Amino acid sequence: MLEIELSKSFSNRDNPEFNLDVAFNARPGITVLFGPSGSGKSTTLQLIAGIATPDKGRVLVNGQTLFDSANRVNRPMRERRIGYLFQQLAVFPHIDVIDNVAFGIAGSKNTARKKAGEWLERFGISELAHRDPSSISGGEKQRVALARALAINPRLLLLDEPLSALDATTKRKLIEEIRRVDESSQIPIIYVTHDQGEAIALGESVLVYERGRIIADGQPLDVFSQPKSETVASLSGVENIFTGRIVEQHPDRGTMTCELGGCRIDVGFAPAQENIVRIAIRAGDILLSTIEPKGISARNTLEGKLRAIESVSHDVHAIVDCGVDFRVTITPHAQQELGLEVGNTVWLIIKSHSCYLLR
Amino acid sequence: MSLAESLQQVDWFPVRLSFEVAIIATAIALVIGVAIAWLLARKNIIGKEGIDALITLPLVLPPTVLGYYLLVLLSQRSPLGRFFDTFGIRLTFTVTAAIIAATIHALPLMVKAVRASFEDIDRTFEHSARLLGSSEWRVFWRITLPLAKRGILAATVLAFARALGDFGVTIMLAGNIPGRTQTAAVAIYDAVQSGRDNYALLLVVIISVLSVLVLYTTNKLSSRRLY
Repeated sequence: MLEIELSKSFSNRDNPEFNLDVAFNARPGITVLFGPSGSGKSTTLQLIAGIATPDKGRVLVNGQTLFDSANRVNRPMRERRIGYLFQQLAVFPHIDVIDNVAFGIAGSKNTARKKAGEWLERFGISELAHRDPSSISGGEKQRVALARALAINPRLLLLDEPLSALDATTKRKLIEEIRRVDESSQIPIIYVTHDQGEAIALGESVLVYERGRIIADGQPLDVFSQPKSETVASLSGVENIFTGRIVEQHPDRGTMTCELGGCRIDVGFAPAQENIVRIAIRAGDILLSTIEPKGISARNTLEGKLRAIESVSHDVHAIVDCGVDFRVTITPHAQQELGLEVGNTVWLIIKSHSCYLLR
Repeated sequence: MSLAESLQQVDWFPVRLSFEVAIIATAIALVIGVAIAWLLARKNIIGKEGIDALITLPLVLPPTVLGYYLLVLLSQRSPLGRFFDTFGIRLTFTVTAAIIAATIHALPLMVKAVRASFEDIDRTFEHSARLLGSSEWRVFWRITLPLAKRGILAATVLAFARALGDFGVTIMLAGNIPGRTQTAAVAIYDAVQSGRDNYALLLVVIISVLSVLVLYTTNKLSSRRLY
């Protein structure tokens, strides 16, 4: 169990003023720190590891204090037993692979090498033992760095965007490996990323960072699929975000009506302090019809004109003008079958519960 | 007179002294220089840039001016000179003086170049080593130093060249005592002044050939893979 409470102010040329202020507990398992670059995720790892010193706060691992500003405790990095994977990996370039893995293993050179050999075997890279780090691939380096970090039998594993430089296939394989490490090691793993796919693939729990603060937390799928803040919505790639004005409230019906400059939609009822709200709708949550739909449960059917059709990887985005532009994801097959063309009149069907009010 | 005959008649003392002095001075500058460079590159010590400026001073001061300062600082009338004199060590007009002169002359380049190569090292290597349980001492010997090896080697070659070539500081501090403190650079000057042009030319050629040889060997060594 990792328990932290950290605050630190920075002021330098790059960041005129930046305050990091976070507190969380992490159980054994993978906790993802997610957020835009510069939001303080990597800094959090550095403060936990002791690379940087917090102004105030505490870091506890399994009840043992590594840092406590109130009691002036600040254990040196070498005593913290934290496995750390840097973005640059930091595989020592001047020693071969096996000596890299043996570097942190206590004991004589021979015992250390022997144990390092076992780690290489575990990661399926025994044949790299005597290779020069400059001659191995990015994915292999990754495994070497991971093996080296785990070889010290750490109490905590910190991974700082370790997969950002890899291609999709290698990434998938390594995600599997990190999951296996997670299952066998039973220690808290803190994983920093700005990639939503990685966060969903790995995390049992995600903490969303914005400007040095945690603005959302929970299970990745919940956090991303029902965004409650603008940052989460835009980070998780929600295509439609509108500013609206609440014009009618119907707590009895469980809805309220919002005016979005040109059209009105009903969204799920939520007591709001302000009249102006931000609403996020996923392009994939909107249905598109070429005839006026009747007798459906969805609260919103909006008439509009098809303004443009764009290809987005394997899908098609239809852009429909209903007073404001909506982006709707459809399959190429649906596009063909409906014979969609720019200028057509279409209807959009949106469930109230697919409209997320953002904080 | 054949070349072999003339080589036999040459007074080799200045050449030998020059190389001995340069080698010892380079070794001292290497140890002190690496230590100072590490402090400047890695520690937040007070007056850091002041120390850097003081060490760089010999690079910009005219050698005779530097020699004069050292003479005042180390002469037998100075506190430092008196202190060493009680151990029977004279710091002026001796081989020791020549070594001090060459060391002071070579040190700034050493510190500058080694500091730069320390600062070039990605700090995450050192952080990784610490997190893998290494003491600061082990981090230095196993990570920092090996990663700066190439820069340190280059700096050592430059420092050696400067130590070998010093004239001004040496003549001020160690003087021009043939057979005792007369290094090759000083002997060449002396030979030209007293009209022994052939001897001067011979010394010039010998020093040039040996210098090129040293440079070539070190370049050869450093172009081999260091890590």
